[in-house]
Amino acid sequence: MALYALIRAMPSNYVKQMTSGKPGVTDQLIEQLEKNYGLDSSIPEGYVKWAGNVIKGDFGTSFVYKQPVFKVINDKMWASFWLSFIALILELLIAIPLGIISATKQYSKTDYAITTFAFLGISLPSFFFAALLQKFFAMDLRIFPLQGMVTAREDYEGFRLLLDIGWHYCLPIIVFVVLGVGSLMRYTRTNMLEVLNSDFIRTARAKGLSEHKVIYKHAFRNTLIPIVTMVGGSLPGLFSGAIITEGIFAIDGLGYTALQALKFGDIPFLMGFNMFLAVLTLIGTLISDVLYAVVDPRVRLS
Amino acid sequence: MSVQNQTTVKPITPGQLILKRFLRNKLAIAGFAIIVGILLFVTVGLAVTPYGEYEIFYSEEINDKDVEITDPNQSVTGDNVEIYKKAKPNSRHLLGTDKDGRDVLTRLLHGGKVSLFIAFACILVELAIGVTLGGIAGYYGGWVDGLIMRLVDVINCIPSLPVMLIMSSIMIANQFPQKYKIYALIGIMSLLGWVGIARIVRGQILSLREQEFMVATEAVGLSTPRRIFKHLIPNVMPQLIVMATLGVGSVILTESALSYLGFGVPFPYASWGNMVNTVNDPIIMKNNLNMWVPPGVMILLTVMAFNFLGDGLRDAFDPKMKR
Amino acid sequence: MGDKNSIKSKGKMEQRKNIALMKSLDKAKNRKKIPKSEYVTEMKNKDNILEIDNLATYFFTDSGVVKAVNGVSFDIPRGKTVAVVGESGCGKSITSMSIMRLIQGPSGQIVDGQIRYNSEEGPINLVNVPISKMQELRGNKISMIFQEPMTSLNPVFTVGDQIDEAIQLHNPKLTAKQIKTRSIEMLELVGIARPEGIYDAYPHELSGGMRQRVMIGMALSCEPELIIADEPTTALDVTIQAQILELLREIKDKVNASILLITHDLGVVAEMADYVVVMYAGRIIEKGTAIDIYKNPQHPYTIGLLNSKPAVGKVVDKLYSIPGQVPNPINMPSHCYFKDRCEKSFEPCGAIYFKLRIFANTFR
Repeated sequence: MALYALIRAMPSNYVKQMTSGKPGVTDQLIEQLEKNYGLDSSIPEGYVKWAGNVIKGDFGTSFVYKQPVFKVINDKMWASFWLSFIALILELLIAIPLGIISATKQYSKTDYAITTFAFLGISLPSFFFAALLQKFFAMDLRIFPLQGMVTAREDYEGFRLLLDIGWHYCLPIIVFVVLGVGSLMRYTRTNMLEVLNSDFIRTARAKGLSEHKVIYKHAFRNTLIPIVTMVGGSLPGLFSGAIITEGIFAIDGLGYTALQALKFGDIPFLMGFNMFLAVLTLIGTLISDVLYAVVDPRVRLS
Repeated sequence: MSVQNQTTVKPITPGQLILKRFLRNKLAIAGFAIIVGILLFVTVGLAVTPYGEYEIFYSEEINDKDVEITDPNQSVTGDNVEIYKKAKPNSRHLLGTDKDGRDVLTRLLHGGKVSLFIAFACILVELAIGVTLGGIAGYYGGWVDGLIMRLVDVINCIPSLPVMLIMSSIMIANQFPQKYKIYALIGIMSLLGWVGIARIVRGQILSLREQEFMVATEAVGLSTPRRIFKHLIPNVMPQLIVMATLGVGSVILTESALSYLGFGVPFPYASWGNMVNTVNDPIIMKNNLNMWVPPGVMILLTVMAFNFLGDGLRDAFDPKMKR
Repeated sequence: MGDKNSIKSKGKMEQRKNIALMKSLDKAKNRKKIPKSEYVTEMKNKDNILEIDNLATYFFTDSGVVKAVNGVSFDIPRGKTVAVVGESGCGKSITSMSIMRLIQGPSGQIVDGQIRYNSEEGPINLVNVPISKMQELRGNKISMIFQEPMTSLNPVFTVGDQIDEAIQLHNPKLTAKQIKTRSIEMLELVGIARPEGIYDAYPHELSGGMRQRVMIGMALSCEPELIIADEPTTALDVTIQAQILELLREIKDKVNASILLITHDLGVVAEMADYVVVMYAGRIIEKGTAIDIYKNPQHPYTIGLLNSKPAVGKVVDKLYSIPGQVPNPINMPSHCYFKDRCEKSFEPCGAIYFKLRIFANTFR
């Protein structure tokens, strides 16, 4: 509700924007349009009306896209999802092994190198890195396209379309991966260190297991537990997209759409989007809890 | 080889122990050095630079080439005189000029001042609110705790980026004076950010409160404020310091993202973020690296340095560290 | 002023020398190939399964060098039970970890001494042996039971899995079925009812006593020659303690292995041990047969220890305890450590620590 109030407070509401450039629009017309868009009622009233609609399953029509909000979200979210999903897989493949190595070789040169790289990733401003990539890879080397999801003016179908999208996705994925690997790797490292100090690892060594087995069988399995639950919990969030990066690469995903909506004051969309985010978070928590029970035998109810 | 017997009987204080552990961490030292370096760079640079933050330079076209007007007596308007835009780095402007004719290096320095100032101020405010509310919640428990935690939950639910964008655009539309925008920015970011600190403080206090040394202080008869300040807070300090340090980095990133999008520090003031904003023009991206790369690099270095420092501090404070 | 500074800088130099020593020891330990000549040795007495000779294990920390074990020597004969007693922090656990070479480097190092083990292929010095050889012995010929059963088992694997693992590691030729059968045998041996069911259980489903039984089962699974039990009953309550001790006694008779029992409970020692070694602050104060120690303790510390145990049936006004505290292990003086607490101290006690006086052949 707070969100609704804020947006309504935004002075440049949609109608005014739309009509600002047009000459000859009478005040009466503005009033008429405002009525149509439901902006004439006071703030609390508007919210109640919206909530009432939501319960009925009607999220309203987006101002900008002139389609039901539900449909808009549904259309755009897949683009964001695939982007984030592929990036996540790559991040995991890179971060977990690095984290384990970093923990087992604590304070060695390897550890320092990996840690530095991780911090680099965390500290990069996404827009800056994206711009750098665009400059070097897209402009200078011309390996990847600059922006967009598909190459304009070419109408690919089927598999070629898939390849084309994939090619366009490369740079944004690189941005996501570099930024995300760092924290995942540190997380793995911290957990691994904690596990390596526990008693059962001592027992495993006392049984005569090789160090390799101790790390990769006993310690690893325990370290996985918090990682799996965290990753599982973040799965739903993959649908929501990243506002800035999508904007730079002009990927038509949910994040980009949300940014446009904000700029234009598209209230139904924003409200729907917010609900969407909340639902995603809830699902994420649920998944995380379920996974925890699957992976950690201590948590299962008998 | 035999082990040397220690002839000194001096015990080591925990403070010294922490310092020793910290100094062993080369990355942390590097981070600290970088921060000191940047601070020096900004302060000394600002004192030394002859140029203003948004001073515009003019050039005259002589023989079809832009040459900067250096003679202050020459008139600013003339046939061939125009704004000295997008100059490449040269001896007078070490980083060239931007698209409106301003000296990039000077703006970099001012940007540093602004970004760092915002970050520090923000963290300080967050600490103030967070420690107070978290402390009260943890110490008194009960309905006070419940109330504060509800507040924390609500603020957590607010998506930060959209809200900041909205507030920003409201301010722009209402023609909020530019100068105060920075303070407003600090205010909003802190109001959203104190929750993390409050949670940690509350958690720590809840666990410490029941420990025996607190009962001991009560048994000795210390007054409540004294107990809070002299006994509880020093135990929370290490985590706070770590959070604050890492937080600075995060605030810098957020502020620069906002400024980049146009919702943060407004023109003509400089901020590292809004300097990178120029990269949106493809021509600039391609040709005028001097305009957008330095501020980006500065952001990266600064945040990285704070992260190294914070991480090193965290390791140093941890009593279970193996080496 | 200058004096203080010179002490400081001397301290720093010592610290640096110590760090260098630590690093060189660590490196030597981690070499890929260690020639056999370095660890093949001779036993003094063929009837001993283990001979510890002047063992010194130090920890190199930021605050200084902790001499956890500082000149410990004793023998473990085949088939006998040796108990090591002492207060918390006197170095008994570190001694056992040194035998198993489980000391955490690089800060912990075995600095001096020999641990001669009478293996099937001939006596070897465990201090110098490469880790790969050590891993063959661990869990196999020399096994260890730890103090905290609650945390010593891996929570994500079943109990059966973990025992299987130990068997499989040292007996690679057995089939999975044979291994499972043996595991269940072990569970039965340690007194667990319904071993097939427990085989599939996870550690968190079992009580502390049962977990310790599982640990014992695991330790026995490969028919070890030496079992090291590091305070196996300390973390359990008294009734369970009695059961576990009873179990250990049965095992002792059945299995014909030597047991090195580490404890601070004199009652336990009296029941189980053939020989007793008394440790204090990293050194051995007194050692001998159990009967000798109990009937005729010589060192004031031992006398103090025995007196500290409250005796059932005896009425006293005040429970006796040895005054003072264990000294800081970092700056050990070079005279008898017990001097400041000893009731019987006199002039000679202040002198440089002397070799142990021999009272009888077995009684030092």
